[in-house]
Amino acid sequence: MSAPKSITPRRAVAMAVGLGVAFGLAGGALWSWRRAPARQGADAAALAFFALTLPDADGVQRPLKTWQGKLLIVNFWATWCTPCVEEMPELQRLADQSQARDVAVIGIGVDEADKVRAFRTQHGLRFPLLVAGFDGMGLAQRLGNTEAVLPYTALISPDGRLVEEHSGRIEAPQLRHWMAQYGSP
Amino acid sequence: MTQNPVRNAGRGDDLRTAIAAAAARWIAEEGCDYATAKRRAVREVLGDASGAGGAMPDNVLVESELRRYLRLFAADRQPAQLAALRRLALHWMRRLLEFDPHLVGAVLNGTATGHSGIHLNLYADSAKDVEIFLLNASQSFDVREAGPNAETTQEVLEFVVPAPRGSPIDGNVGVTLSVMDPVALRVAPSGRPKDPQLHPVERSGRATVSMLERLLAESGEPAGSAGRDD
Repeated sequence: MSAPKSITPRRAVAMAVGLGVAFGLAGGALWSWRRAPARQGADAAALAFFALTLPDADGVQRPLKTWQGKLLIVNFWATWCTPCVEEMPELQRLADQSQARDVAVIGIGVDEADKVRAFRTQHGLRFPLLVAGFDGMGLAQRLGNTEAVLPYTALISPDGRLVEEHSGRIEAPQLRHWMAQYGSP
Repeated sequence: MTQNPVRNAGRGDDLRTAIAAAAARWIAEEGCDYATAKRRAVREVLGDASGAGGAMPDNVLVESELRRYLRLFAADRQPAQLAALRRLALHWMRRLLEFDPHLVGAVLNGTATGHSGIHLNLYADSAKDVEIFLLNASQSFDVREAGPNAETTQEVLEFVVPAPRGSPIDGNVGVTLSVMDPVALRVAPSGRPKDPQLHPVERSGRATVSMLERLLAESGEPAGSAGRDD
């Protein structure tokens, strides 16, 4: 895993600019802190999301529409984010359990491809890990991450609605609850 | 020590709650950290720390029991102690404003007692800048390595300050500054309490100066002075 020293000054400046925006957003979002219900426009956000193409950790371009029509768990994460790292085994378990159903789990790394690749190997992760770099924070925000923090997990229904969202470390019971509520039997 | 969790420990699933209740008492009365309190509680309830196994409560349950304990046994003093600690925290946050201070821990979530220290996260490119600031302010401090969040925590600085004059806290108050990379603000705070009855700032996991001011104002506590102006 990358040490803090791997955060370059250039990246830090970019992050600092982003943080300014984030503070404004976070201030406004404080009172809907835990989990806002899907807002109006969420469907448009999901549509815009599926229109994108992102590289995976191996550099292969992956159109997000690949997963359109499934019950899709989108997890925004980074290798430098401790709670993100902690929840990865639970996401992998869910992905393993969901293979035969119309359920998919994808990770979007707010990170660099080589770090994501190394992490994937180190932890034996098999579900798709895409790489968005720091632009991933903007993508997460457009998908409802009003707190602008990681980890952030969104659930998109097969009919393209953003139905659930969770800021911070997600636990297995929460994922099971989502599956019970939205997954096909 | 006014409760006896052992009395309730025979009820199967209640064992975990009994351990959590005992841990809560150690935290409230002795100022133990959660890990130490849980170890002591297991010994107290089971007589042997090695046999806790699946009965070890998580921190969410311990915090829940701690809130219950404070309501039952410390309602006459804890709210005033908490308010004094929050005002003192605000005082230091204002002094450390250039390092983007955020209040975390028990003083924020409302479980602090007279034994509790103040925990601030500072977000700075270099921990040395914070050290220089403290040296210039003639504030002596100790330095220790970052703990479990070493990926984003550069350094931890600790010092003690006298409790504000006239406050309900005796002696000194510990102040812990975790100096973190600015990117750490992108990581969601851990262990955010979920109790909907808490003030949203108490549930936020980390609070800026303005958030703490709002919490104090909406809790009916004046935010203007820590009681000491050093």
